[in-house]
Formats: sequence, structure tokens, C-alpha cells
Amino acid sequence: MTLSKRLALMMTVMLSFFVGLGVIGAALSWSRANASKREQRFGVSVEQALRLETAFSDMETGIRGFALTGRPEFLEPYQSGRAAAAKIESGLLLNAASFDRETRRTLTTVITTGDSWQSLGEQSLNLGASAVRTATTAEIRRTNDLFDGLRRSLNSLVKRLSEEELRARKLRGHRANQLFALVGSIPIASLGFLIVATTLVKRWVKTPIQRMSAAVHRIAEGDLTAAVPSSGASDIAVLGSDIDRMRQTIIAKLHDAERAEQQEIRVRQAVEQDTILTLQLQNELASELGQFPDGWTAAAELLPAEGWVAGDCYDVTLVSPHLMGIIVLDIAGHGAHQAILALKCKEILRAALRAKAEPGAALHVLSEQVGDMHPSFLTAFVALLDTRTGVCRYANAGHPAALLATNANTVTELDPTGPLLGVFSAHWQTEEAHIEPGGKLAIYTDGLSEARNHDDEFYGMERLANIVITLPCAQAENVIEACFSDLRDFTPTRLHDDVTMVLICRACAEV
Amino acid sequence: MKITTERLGTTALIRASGDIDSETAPQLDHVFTSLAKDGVNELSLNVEGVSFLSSAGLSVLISAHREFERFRLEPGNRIVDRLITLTGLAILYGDPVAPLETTH
Repeated sequence: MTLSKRLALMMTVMLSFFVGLGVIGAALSWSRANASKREQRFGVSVEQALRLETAFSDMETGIRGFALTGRPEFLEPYQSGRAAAAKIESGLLLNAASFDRETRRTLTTVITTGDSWQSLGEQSLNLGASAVRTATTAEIRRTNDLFDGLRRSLNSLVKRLSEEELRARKLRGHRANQLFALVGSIPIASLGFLIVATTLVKRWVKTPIQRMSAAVHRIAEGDLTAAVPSSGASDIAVLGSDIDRMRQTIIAKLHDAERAEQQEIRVRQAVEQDTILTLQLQNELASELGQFPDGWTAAAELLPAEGWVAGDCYDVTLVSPHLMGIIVLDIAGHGAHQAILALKCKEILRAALRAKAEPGAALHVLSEQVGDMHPSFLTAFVALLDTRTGVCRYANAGHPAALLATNANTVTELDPTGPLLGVFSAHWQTEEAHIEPGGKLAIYTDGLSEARNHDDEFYGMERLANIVITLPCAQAENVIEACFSDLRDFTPTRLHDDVTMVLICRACAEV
Repeated sequence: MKITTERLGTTALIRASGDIDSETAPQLDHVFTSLAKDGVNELSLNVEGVSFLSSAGLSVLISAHREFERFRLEPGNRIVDRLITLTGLAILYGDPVAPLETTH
């Protein structure tokens, strides 16, 4: 039940109680006043009955004096008594409505007996004093009996009226006591109600709010384990329940935030680890070139597509004192998976070349090792260069044609000798070319020839060949720098594919 | 890249034009996959209007060659033909897909 309904019910009970007290008090007061009037009325009636008795006594005295003396002045008490009796009887009859039946009958008996006695007496008086004196014993006894009966009736009337007066007095006193008790109980009842109301309000409002306040204070201090109690009136309980739900929501949100933060930390750590891995991979993909026999220089450059780990890879190393192994390969796609695969392929090819396998056979070994690479594949240019003779035995697995430039500014394209690798079973032929003194061998990936400028034009093999031919071959490093500088001029925006180029230069004969 | 599809029963002809590179190749792959799921088992690809085919595009063509019972890359585009020749993927030219050959 809501607080307002509970308070309304409590006020209704209190009001009903006090209204009841008022009604009872009014009834008691009315009853007391009624008893008081009744007491007063019966008091008057008792006095009237006594006076009536006196009046009849006076009348009897008058008749007796007149009978003894025969003198009319002795009738004066009779006359005054008769007048008083008539008046008193009228007064008694006026109050008779409030008498009970027995009292009214007694009064009627008194009046009728008095009338009979008075009638008998007056008949004698009308006959004269002699008649009164000569009355027979029977007449006298009859008169005396009537008078005695009148006096007994009067005594009975007085007695009954006195008893009625006493009952009315007792009732008045009883009602007065009850009224006093009632009035006295009002402050006690009020105090009781006050105590009950205070207790209930405390139980319904103050205690639940104090409990809620304590819990909210603990929550405000950071202790979210403090459950908010929901007790008391229903609306107060609902408030407590809502606050507790808010606490639980805060806990859930904090847990979410904590999980998100932990996730972010894990992601950051993963990114940091990926970055380390990427840098390591990058270093492995672009091998450092060592020293080569006199008259030979080599240089290489690898630019991964922006935002990716390259899928390109190269290696130029001496597999024997006079035999230079050259590997350039390009795995379709970019990313860590392709980079790791590229490293694996490079290691297989290098191992094959070190084992004196022909380039075509090395590609076959690689094909056997990697198997079906679908949906990826790779292209590769693999060569063994005899630095003493300049003879270059090579195999090209679907890779862009390598450029062999002579000192006479001619260029020969070393086309594929077999298909790309990793999709179909195939055979790669090993071909032979010759690098003359002053000659250059440029191997590149399609990311270079297919790089585009703002006008969507390709960089192209011809532009590359032109630079390779034009520049002197004293240092391969210079030629590579010139090529990549020209590439950056051509396409200053981001690269969409990895770009790799390896350049082998043979010094001119006279150098 | 622009792709149009003509279908006759379980046979389909796709015409592609523009660049097929790492950005557009997934669109072509999506078309191939949808047709294969829809019951097409013979597919002919016309690349007459293709201006560039990257390794990502080649990968999609190889996938199609494996996915369909019969797949044929129609020759005639110098750029594509040169790349197919260099990479040794002449197998993609396959045999003509008969019903559509008669139509086009």
C-alpha cells in the first residue's frame, strides 16, 4: 500500500475514533441532563405529595374541630387545606406524564380517595355541626377508613416518588462519572494515537529512508556491493528498488567498461606484438646484401603496399664463392600470412640453390613443398649467376620479365619459363642469359610496373628499362635509388601493391 | 569495374569491363559465388573491356576455374592475354561453353 494511502487510512481511523468519542460524550451529556431534570422534577413532586398530605391533615383537623365545637371558625384549616390540595393535585397531575404506571395509579388512588373522603366530609358539613356530632359510629368509621386509606396512598406516593428521585440522582451521578472518564480518556487516547502514528510513520518512512540513505552513502563512497533495501510503504519500497537497480546498472556498466578496457589493452598488446612481428618480417623479407666478387654490385629495395606487411620477398647471396643466388618472389596479396609464406618460400628456394639445384628444379622443389596455395599463388624469378663468366641461369615462374641491359643500351626481356606457382602442377624450364661487362640485370615485381599516377596511367616496364639503360653501372645502389625516386615522382600517393626491385650490375671491362 | 550477367539455365555469360584489381576483384568473386550457389555450372567470362587485371583478379579467375564444372576465359583482350601467357594460365581459356557461344 502506498504511503499516502496508509496515511489517509491512519487519519481516517483517528478521526473516526474521535468522532465516536464525541458522539458518546454527547449522549452521556444528554443523558446526564435528562437525569438531572428528572431528579429535579421528582424532587418537586415529593415536596408536593408531602404538602398534599399536610393539606389533607389540615382539612381533617378542621372537620374534627368543627364537629367538636360547632364553631365555624374551626373550619378555616379545612377551607385552606382544600384549596391547597386542589392546587397541589393539579401540579402533581402536570408531572404525572414522567411517572411510571404504578406511580400514576397511586396518584390516581390518592386523588380519588381524597375526593371521596372530601365529598363525604362536605356532606356532613352541609348538614351542620349537630349532624357531625350525631354521626353514627359506622359513618365515622367509614370516614376514618377513607382518610386512613388516603394517608396510606399518600405515603405510598411519597415513597415511590422519593425512590424515582433517588434513581434519577444516581443515574445523573453515574452519567457524570462516565462523562468525566470520557473527557479524561481523550488526552490519553490522543497520546496513544500520537505514539502509534509516530511509530508507523517511522516504520513506513523514516527507517526505510535511513537504510536507503546509508546504502546510497556507501555507494557514493565507492562500495557498490551495498545493496539498497526496499522496505516500508510500497512507493518508498519502489524507490529503494529503483535505486538498487541503478546500482546494479552502474556495476554492469563498470564491468562492461572494465572488459572493454581489458580488451583494448589486449588489442594494444596484440598491435604492439604485430608491429614487432611486422618489423621483424620486413627485415627478413628484405635481406641484407653481402659482399660480392670484384666487378659485381647488387642493390635491392622493397616498398610494401601502404598499411600492409609485404607479400614480396627477395634474396641475393653467394651460394658458393663465385655463384650468386638471386631470388625475387611475389605472393598474391599482402599481410602477415603472405609475408610468412614468402619467407618460407624464400628459405626453400635458397636451400635448393645452395644444394646446387638448377633454378627450374628449385622452383619444382618449392612447388612440391608448398603444394596447392589456392586461393593464393606466387610468381618468382630465380637465378644462379656465375660471377666469373657472367652466365646467368634462370627460371621464371609467371613473374614479370626481368630486364637484361647491355652496355650498348639494348634490353632483353627474360620472360617466364613456366607458369605461376601454387595452383597447377607444372614444369619450369631453366634458361641461360649472359651479363656482359657494363651490363645490368633488373628483376622487379608487378607492383612497380603496374603502379599508377593521378591520370590512372601505369608506370610501365618501358619507363623502368629507360632508367636502367641510361644510368652508368658503377654502383647498383645509385640505379635503384634513381628508379625509386622516379617512381615516387610518378606516383606520389599511396602504393596499392608491394614494389620490389633487385638490380645486379657488372662493371665495365676497363674498370 | 562494370559487370553484366546473361543466364540461360545452368549456363551464364559474364561481361566485365574496367580494372579488375584488389579493390574490384571481390565484386567479381561475389558474382561467381552467387551464380554457383544458384545452380550455374558452366560459365563464360568476356573480358573484352578490361583495362587491367591484377594478381587479385587472377586469383578470382583461378577460383572460378575450380568452382565451375566448365569455365572459359574468352581470349581477345591484349592486356589480359599477355598476363595469362606470362603466368602460364592458358588453361583458363578452356573449351568454349557451347550454348552461349551460339548466342554471342
